[in-house]
Amino acid sequence: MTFDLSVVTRYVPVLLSGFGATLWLCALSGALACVLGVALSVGQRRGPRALVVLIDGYVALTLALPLLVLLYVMFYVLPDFGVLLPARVVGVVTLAIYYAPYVAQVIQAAIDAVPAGTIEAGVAIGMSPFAIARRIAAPQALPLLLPTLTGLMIGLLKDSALLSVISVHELMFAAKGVVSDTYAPLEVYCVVALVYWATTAMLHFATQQWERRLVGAHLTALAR
Amino acid sequence: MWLDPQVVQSLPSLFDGWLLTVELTLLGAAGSLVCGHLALAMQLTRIAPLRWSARLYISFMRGTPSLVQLFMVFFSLPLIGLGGRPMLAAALTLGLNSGAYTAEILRGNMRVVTRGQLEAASALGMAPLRIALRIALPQMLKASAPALVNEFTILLKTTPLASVVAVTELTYAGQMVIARIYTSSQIMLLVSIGYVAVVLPVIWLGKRVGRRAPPHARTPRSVMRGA
Amino acid sequence: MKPNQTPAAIEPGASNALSARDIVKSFGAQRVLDGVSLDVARGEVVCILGPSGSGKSTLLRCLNWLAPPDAGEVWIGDERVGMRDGAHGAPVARPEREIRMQRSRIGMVFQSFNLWPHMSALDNVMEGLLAVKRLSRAEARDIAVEALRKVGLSGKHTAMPASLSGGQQQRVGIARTLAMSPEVILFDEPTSALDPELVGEVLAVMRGLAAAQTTMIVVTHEIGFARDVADRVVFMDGGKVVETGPPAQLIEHPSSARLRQFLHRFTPEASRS
Repeated sequence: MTFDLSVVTRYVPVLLSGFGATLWLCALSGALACVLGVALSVGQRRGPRALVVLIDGYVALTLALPLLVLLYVMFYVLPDFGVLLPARVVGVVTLAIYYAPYVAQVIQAAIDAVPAGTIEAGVAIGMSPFAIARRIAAPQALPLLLPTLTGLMIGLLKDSALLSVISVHELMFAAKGVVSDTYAPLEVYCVVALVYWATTAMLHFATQQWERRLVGAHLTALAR
Repeated sequence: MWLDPQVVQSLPSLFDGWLLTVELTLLGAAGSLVCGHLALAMQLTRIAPLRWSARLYISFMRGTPSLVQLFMVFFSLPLIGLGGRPMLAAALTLGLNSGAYTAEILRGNMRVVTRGQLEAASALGMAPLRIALRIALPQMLKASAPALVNEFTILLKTTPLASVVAVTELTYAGQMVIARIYTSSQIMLLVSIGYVAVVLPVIWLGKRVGRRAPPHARTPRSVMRGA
Repeated sequence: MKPNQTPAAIEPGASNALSARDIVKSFGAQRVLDGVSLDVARGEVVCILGPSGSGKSTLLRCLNWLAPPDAGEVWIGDERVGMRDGAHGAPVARPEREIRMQRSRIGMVFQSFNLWPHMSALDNVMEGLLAVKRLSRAEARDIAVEALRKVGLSGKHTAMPASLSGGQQQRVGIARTLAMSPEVILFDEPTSALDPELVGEVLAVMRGLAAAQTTMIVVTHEIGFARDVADRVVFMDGGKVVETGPPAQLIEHPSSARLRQFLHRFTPEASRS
């Protein structure tokens, strides 16, 4: 049995289109997940008791449920309740719902890492909570937050492959089409794997560089 | 939404699916421990090709979606005469994939074993293998326990992947029932309960034990690895 | 004895427990040991004194080949450590297995005890017997129990290192070495990491060993111990042996300025050891 990569070359445009769709979907759901994550974080810290319980329940459920099952639930169950959405909307929303709790966790950790003394100083001066958040907490929390967040986004990129099972047009789905045309699954999936690998490696590298620079800046800012 | 009699009738097949999920998890965990220890050992040798192979393996498993990995394994098996075995492909993929994370967990916990302890063992004249098995590994595994439990929980949540190659674990069992009787909501609810009922207690237990673990044993970074 | 004088008649032989000749060791560009020679007779207690950075700990690690020297020879009895004569006369490295066997004949007690925290005191002492001497569990147990008795820890067999005081941990470390019946025991600043009130119990054990004719090489800052117990004191500085001789002579009447300076910093507390 021969391993012939040339059969794939004809289909590079198809795969590229799928890859582009993947990037776009991930950007959308990533952004949505971050917004949701912030909302969850704020809700848990400042919300009324009922809301906190609700959020805790939601977080526990998404942590305990496999993404694929959540995907199927959204895809099969929503229509039963009359909610008919195109597959890619379901995909993006599900990814965002799944990742929001992790984003919230990262935000919490970053905020907790902000030295309490700096917050206290802001309160002592008489700054409003909003001003404290914007001018004291956020600038210190962000450098700690962003590298880990990028790590989550890498996870999200890999998970986007699952969207192919509900027929969302992205890289994996495009690949399946190419496989059925070429009958060369090994070659096609090798190429696809390399694409994912290269993308995550680049993101990972960028995160490391970023982290290195930010840690340095952060430490000098806190120099005692 | 009340429980359809047909749904109740399908409970046995769902339960069988659940059992297969558990089996897949156990097989995957076993494979993960094997691959993880092997990859770690390879990284510690003086033979450069072995070190590089291990690092490539870890980078690949962590850098590509497990769905792609599953297909690669599934379509490679026929080449070595093991075609038509989706369960094998799934278990193998899970073990290989999880093994990369296990290797990193173990590596992160190597520093529990101080240089002095190793020096004392060498000074006595102990052989490297004995030192690894009697001195290093017991301490590393104990320190890694919380992170490993977390990893195997993630493994459990990755088992639905096998449904894509028609392994009748819980998710696929659910899909087959839906194809027959069309009450997707209730079936999916049951399937969800099947997972949540196992994962939630483990996570909760892990938190209780984890609070007593030293900080370096918790790995917040590896929280999301994707399917 | 004049500095760095190696008596012409010196030959590694059965009369010496351990011999080192012209040991040179560098770490990168830093030359830590610059031609150190030492002979220790059976039953002799040699104390090595010197400021930090003088190479004392490195020397010990060269003796048991944990840190093989760049040049020089080490002999245990009449067997060369770490190297042997090759096919064409030039020395070649011994196989690891042989070196490990040689190490098992040289005991080492560490400044930070280096007990294995996941094993009980008894298991710590037994491990070497099981792993290296390949004794049966029963035999290893008997020897280990006796070793713990010798260091005064008979009731602590099942204790985990974390529940033991520093002094007790170090005594377990000594027991672990004793159990192997080594021909010589190397002590690397055994009491430096201990709280002052725990130093005495460890020194007491060491005195007992000395009285029992154990061959010991002790790197220490405990001048009092050196003066009372050592048969010979060696003063090292800058990777070289500066002075060597009987303790009374070296400590009361140091002939080199560097030794005088060094002793000045350590006021011997006669009451302590």
